[in-house]
Amino acid sequence: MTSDPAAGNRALLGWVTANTVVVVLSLVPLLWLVSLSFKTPESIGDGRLVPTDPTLANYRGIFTQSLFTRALVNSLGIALISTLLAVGIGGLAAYAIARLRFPGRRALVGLALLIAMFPQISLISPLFNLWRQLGIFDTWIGLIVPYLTFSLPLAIYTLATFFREIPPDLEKAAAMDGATPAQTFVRVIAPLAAPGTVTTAILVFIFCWNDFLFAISLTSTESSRTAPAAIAFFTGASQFAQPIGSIAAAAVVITIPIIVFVLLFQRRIVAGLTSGAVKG
Amino acid sequence: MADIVLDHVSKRFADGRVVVDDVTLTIADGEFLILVGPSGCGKSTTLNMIAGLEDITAGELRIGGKVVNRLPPRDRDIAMVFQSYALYPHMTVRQNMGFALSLAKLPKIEIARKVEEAARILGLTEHLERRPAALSGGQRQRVAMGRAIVRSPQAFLMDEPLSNLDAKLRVQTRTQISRLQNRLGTTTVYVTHDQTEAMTLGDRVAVMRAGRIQQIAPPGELYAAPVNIFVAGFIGSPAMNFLPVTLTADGRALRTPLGEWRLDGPQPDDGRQPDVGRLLERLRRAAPPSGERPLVCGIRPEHFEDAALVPADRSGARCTVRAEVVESLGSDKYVHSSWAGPVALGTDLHADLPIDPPLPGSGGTQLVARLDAASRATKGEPVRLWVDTTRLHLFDPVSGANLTAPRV
Repeated sequence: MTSDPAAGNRALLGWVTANTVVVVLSLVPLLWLVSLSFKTPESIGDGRLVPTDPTLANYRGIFTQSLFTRALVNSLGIALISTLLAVGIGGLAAYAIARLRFPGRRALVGLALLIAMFPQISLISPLFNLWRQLGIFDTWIGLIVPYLTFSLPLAIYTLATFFREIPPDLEKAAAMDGATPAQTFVRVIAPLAAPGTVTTAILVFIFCWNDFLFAISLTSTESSRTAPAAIAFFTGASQFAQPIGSIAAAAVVITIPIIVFVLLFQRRIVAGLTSGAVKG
Repeated sequence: MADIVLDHVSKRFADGRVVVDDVTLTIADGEFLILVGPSGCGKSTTLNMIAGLEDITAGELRIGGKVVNRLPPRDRDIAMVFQSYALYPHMTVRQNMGFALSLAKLPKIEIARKVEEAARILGLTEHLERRPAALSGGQRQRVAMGRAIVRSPQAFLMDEPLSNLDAKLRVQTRTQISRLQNRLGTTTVYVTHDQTEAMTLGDRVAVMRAGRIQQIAPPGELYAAPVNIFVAGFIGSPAMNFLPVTLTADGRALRTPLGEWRLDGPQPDDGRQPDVGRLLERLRRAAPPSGERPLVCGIRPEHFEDAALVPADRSGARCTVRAEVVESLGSDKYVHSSWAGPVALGTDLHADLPIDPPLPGSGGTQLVARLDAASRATKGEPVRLWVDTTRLHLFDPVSGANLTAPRV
């Protein structure tokens, strides 16, 4: 902070402007989407932010179609299972990477990073053929597998960072207290890594929940089609009407779980649970 | 309770570094043994090997007569207090202290009884439901101690448990640990780099340097009869003074940077003073006279005195130094002096010893003398010192061995 009030005001003005720009840029499209979802098909193109005669017809419409409700169930199930697996497997792998000095450790980390950077689109046609031959095309497992492939590196990276922050003395103390390595992990390490685990879970969940590429390519029916893919199949009331209202309503609906997730766990994420472990 | 025996134990890391080199050590049942040495001397590694946190490369470790080389820590029945305390931050004090007991599947009532008993001894009763983050440094230290004592293990291992406390608390806690160990009578191995802790706490002290044990002895013996320059310089505060000297061809005088000191002056017959003759006798036995030879002479600060306060006829050497700094502690006065010229210790020894390097602008050799408070020594003035030549230690400049160690 500066002692010159004029300069202080200028700085404040600068910050306010910058923040406003960022907020407007990120919120206006979202507000527009919400606004569209409450508009009737006739007023969709009127260019107003506040709908003239707000209606819930779009929401009622999408929830009466099994296309969307069934897709929501698929989305939720696939994303949750992928998240659980990614955090579980990733947690064990990350713990090993953070604590053990085994040959090929660097190679493993490098490989994980390589996979995360791999262009997903290049995998689509091979996977499409492979999945059809394996008989897992258009199934939950057919989506969970590629989601794990791309979310595990992320999970391993984030979790390893959190595990590294846990003082190794705690593991030694647990060993001296008579804990087996498994007991140490479950009773000491895992509770301390909880904020990291939750953060990782949210990131992985968002990745799976938002995915469109794999969902549109590796599904063909309601049995496994997820919400983002299902939205692409929305049709208007007639052949010539655009389903813009329904799409907007569906988009709003699939944003809600993300918001709930983040709000629910944000305190947990921020909480510094390891404070007071050593020294002081 | 049990004794701990290290039988030619060594530790070599994967990169080939030998950090503990052929250590043989017997810690009696109920004994309080201190492992002391500069950082990197292998004392913590030795402790970790006893704990089972590090593998033993060679040799045998026995606890209570049983070889435990291959046993995991949980099967050795020993508790450890860590320098960082390593308290579980997500558990309350009660859960921290009871963790080992709950892993051992003791009944809940039993756990509660033992934890409360330990908390009472350590004055932690009103903090039992708090988390470590809500405790002060001293309280955390006591929780770490409590976690060790609730189990009534065969032995305690302590890895610099006081180094994170402030000076005042450290002295208090030191006394508490000493009292606690007396009361419980549990075999204890205590690692520290602080020679004051070593001298005040232990039944016996093992001084380590570069992976090897230099000397194992009770604190008093370590101080009075150090086996080599390293132990002599490490134990004692302020540290022993070292001067490069030459033993004359007749073996009866030392040529020092402060003048020639006769070692065979007339002796007072009060019988209380150790005889200079004995010093020469020991020196002759260890190193038969063979012309002039260079030696390192070690003098404890308290074996100096202001020459004005010593009867003129008392034997001993006299010399004059310039008092660069005079510290008056009320009970004593410390006179610091230095001069340019050859130094007694090589740099590698200097690095390991708690001796300050020469001050910039001052000479190469430093000298600290502890004088009586009645001394008139003033800063910047020359001061005449008397040296008790019967208490000198003479070391071989190459091997560092003490050629004159008194038998205790």
